[in-house]
Amino acid sequence: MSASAASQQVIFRERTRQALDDVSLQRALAKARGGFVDHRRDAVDALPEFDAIRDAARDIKDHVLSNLDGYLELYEQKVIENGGQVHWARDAAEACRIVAGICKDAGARTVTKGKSMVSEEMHLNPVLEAAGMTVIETDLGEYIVQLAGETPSHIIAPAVHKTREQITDLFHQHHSPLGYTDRVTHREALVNEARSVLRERFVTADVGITGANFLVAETGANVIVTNEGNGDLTSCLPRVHIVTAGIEKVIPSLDDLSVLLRVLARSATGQEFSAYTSLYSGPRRDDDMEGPEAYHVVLLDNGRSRLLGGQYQPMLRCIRCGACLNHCPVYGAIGGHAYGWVYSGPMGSVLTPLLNGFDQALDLPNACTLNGRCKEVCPVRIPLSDLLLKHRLEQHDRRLTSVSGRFLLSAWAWLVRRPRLYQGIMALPLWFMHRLGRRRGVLSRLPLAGGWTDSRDFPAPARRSFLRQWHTRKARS
Amino acid sequence: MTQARDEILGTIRKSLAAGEPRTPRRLQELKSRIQDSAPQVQPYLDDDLLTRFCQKHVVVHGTYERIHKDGIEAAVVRHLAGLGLDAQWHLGSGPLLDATRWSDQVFVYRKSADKDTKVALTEAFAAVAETGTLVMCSGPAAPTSQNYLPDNHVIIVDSGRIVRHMEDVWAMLRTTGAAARAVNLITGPSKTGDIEQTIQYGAHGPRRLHVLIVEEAQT
Repeated sequence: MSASAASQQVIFRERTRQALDDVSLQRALAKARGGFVDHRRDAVDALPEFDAIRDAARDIKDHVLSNLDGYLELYEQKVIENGGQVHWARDAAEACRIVAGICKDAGARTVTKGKSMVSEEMHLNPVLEAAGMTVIETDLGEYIVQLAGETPSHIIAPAVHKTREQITDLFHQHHSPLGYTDRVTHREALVNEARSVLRERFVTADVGITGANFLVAETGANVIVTNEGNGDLTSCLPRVHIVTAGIEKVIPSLDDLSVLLRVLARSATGQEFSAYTSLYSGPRRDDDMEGPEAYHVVLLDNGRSRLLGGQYQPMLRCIRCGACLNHCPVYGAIGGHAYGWVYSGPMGSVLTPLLNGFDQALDLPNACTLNGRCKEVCPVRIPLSDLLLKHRLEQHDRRLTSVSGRFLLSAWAWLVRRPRLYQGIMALPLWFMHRLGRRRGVLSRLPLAGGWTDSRDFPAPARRSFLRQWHTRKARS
Repeated sequence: MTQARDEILGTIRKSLAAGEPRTPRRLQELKSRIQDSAPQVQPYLDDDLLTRFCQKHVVVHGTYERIHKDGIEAAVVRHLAGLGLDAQWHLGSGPLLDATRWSDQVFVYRKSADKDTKVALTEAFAAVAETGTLVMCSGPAAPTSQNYLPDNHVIIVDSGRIVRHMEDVWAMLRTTGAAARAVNLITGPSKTGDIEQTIQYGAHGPRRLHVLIVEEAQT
């Protein structure tokens, strides 16, 4: 294990501990937990065709990924036909340079942003700020997180970790200099204050940057799905519109889009359809009275192209709905920040090591109970828990796990392939544990297993193993 | 830049073991798949599209009124009076709105909305019964900002243009050859759940969405 990997592991454990001890965070997570799950279930139950649509969604994504180069070329052609420009970025740094370059050429001073996970992946904001620009996140959740100097902790609910009291404090601190001196505490008043502050920003921004839920090869449009309308104000008001998107976002046709939209909102928030789904293609037309003069798409690879054709390719089907986060007990306990990078929950645990390097996120694939709920709810049927297992195997094969761990696993593997020896050796601790827990049926302390017994009892085993009992009974009958 | 493009496409081809760059024939196959694109699995809906649209629209917090095409101005004025607002609005464009003669009792502004715009009246290209969605296309006299900046959005739609599924809208867009920069699918007023996962209306877009369904617009 490399030094950086070791320190990264310590950081994850430390972050987890902090998250579990963070009272505000635990309160916020507890509040969020049930809602997403219940809403999704209701929405899915109301649509008998849901599973068939999920299959179709998976098939569309698989088809695109198997022909990704072709669809990217077709998409690019259409964007150019519409009067837009397509830029290709091999990694985050290159993407940042491209976006910063466009902003500088446009003489931009203020940049508004719609929600874009790819721009988070790029760490775009500090780059633009270093170039002297004011960058404003306009999705309410992203805005809250930006004021707090933090990063989103959930794909679709970036500020899910913030309580109302914390948001009140943030708004009071940051909006007072703008003349909003009253300390507002009600949800409605908070939303109104943000609306009023951000309105000013929307109409004065020089460049608007949004992400893309999908890129449609048929028309060259980028599709954004929101509930607030901030993405649309970001797309239609500034002089320049920049779209940042991963290369895997392209889909063939509008009919394919319909299939994916039917699973996206239901999986994300339990809505049948989001308030706003918009398709934007190219800059303003000659006779339009408004709209951006320039339209740019920055396509980011950042390690995605390497995943094609391999065992992790299904991960590229991901449409970033957040359902796996909402259904994950680990995410529900520690929140998104503990994961240490942009993507969290099950999809983050699979994706982060793939994009950042296996030794950069060793703990993530192991911080999983393998209950499989993520895989069950995924709208494009990514076998997330299976992919996490593959990660674990790969860590072992690449010798990224600890020496003692690998030794124990090898010893175990050697032993279980010798059933007689295994039975003989296991009989002794079994008998011992049975004696220990004879009275209460549980063990409250167990040598070498303090991590378990510190907070819960261990059920005492039967005196004799299942196999022994089986053989005895068979002999009797 | 072309270097990055070639490198990314190259890695994709290598990973997919597609080896050589896409042959024109292969690209043509993908193009054909797009051109022959057809609706796939769709939710079942019964035939009463108007009822379904209204029902879905109300679920997402929209309001509506069914009117005759001669009653457009009166219906808008009535709706605004109910909100305590004057009879003035930013006006979009569409077959119904373009054919309407406004009386001198109302003020209409044929321009982009701004941050203080109270009301916009725009016309939907179509509406979708499946989800209660209104489809707005941008155009020379139909600026996108009118759909997002006003506090109150009134959308007029011809009941004959309420279609069953989203895919029916794509088919209409393809046949009209509409080259709109923006196609906005709007389902209810603006909302956010970003503060404690509790829905609040009027996040950045309109606080209220009112639909005027014009029946028998063709007669």
